[in-house]
Amino acid sequence: MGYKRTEANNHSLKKRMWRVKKLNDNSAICAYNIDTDKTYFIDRESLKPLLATPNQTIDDVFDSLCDSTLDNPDSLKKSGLLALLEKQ
Amino acid sequence: MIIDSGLHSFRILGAPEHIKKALVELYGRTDERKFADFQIRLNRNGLRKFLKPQVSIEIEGQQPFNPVPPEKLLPSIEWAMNWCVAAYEHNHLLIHASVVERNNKSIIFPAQSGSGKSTLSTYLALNGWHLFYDEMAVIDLKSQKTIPIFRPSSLKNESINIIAGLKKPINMSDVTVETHKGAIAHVMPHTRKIYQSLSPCKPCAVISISYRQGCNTEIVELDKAVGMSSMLLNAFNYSVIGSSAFDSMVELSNSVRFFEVTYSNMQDLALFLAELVNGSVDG
Repeated sequence: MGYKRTEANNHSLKKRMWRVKKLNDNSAICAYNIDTDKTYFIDRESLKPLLATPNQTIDDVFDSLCDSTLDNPDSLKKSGLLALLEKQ
Repeated sequence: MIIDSGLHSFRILGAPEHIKKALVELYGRTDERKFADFQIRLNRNGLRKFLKPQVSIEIEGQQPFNPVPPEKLLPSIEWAMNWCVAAYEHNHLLIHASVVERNNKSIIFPAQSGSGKSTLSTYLALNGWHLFYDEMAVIDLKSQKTIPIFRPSSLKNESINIIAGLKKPINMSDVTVETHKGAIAHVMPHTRKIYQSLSPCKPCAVISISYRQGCNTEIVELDKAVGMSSMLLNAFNYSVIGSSAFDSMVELSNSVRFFEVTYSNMQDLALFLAELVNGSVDG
């Protein structure tokens, strides 16, 4: 009886759970959780875990998180930002 | 009677004569046959009307406010109209704020109780600016333009004397005393003709103001994350609209500057605001 979610459905729901945008003064990444209607700010300090090498700066991280990355669930996951958001 | 605020219209049923007169003085006469978005019915309470008359306010079948004596009805009707917008208007992003405009650019003052936003926005409206709405920033979700609304500002307590003391010709209602917010007077700073000449426009700044007697004007520019979160705290329908409100809020945040201002002198602050809309405040 009723609708049964498949693995594929679950996967696509998870992919679409976040909307993520960058504030253009690089003060924070801003994320909206579609499931809970809550908004989160990932500030510069919180982005430190995404530094890939000792030479990389937070500004480099901001630059690497271009808008196309933030709109793309797969590259969102790849960038490590999804893991940060899921801890919120 | 119908109150036409531009974006919304309100049918007021059962208004006593003194209230009809006060509303016509503020808004002017409107076409009675016009469609109304909201219906506000004023009901006199049964037998009690002979002892201690009270009027209850029914909005679309709900009674969100306590009954009030007829002489305290005007502020309650204004609050009822605000309530209609806050409860039912989800086609626009609504932020608890006052909005003023000059040179086709608006400034949003998110509300903080006692911050003096109504006094400041009324002062500005009487000194070369236009008041878009004293209670809410009504923002188009796609363009992020603020929309002008033909409604009066609501002055409380000492603000009434400050604005009356400006010695400008103003359309101010009688003062309603001893409401739950103290003494209240409404000021319609523009005529309907001036209002009709206004167009929606993009905000250039969002400013959290706080009044502190005797202080020098202190201006601090905020980063966008802090500014946006202060707007979220004052948003009425952000979570109702959902992800398109988020998109619009980020777009808005990315296109404005955020400030925190402490002031005591409105004239001094007005100079800074004029520089802001003229684009002459350095980042």
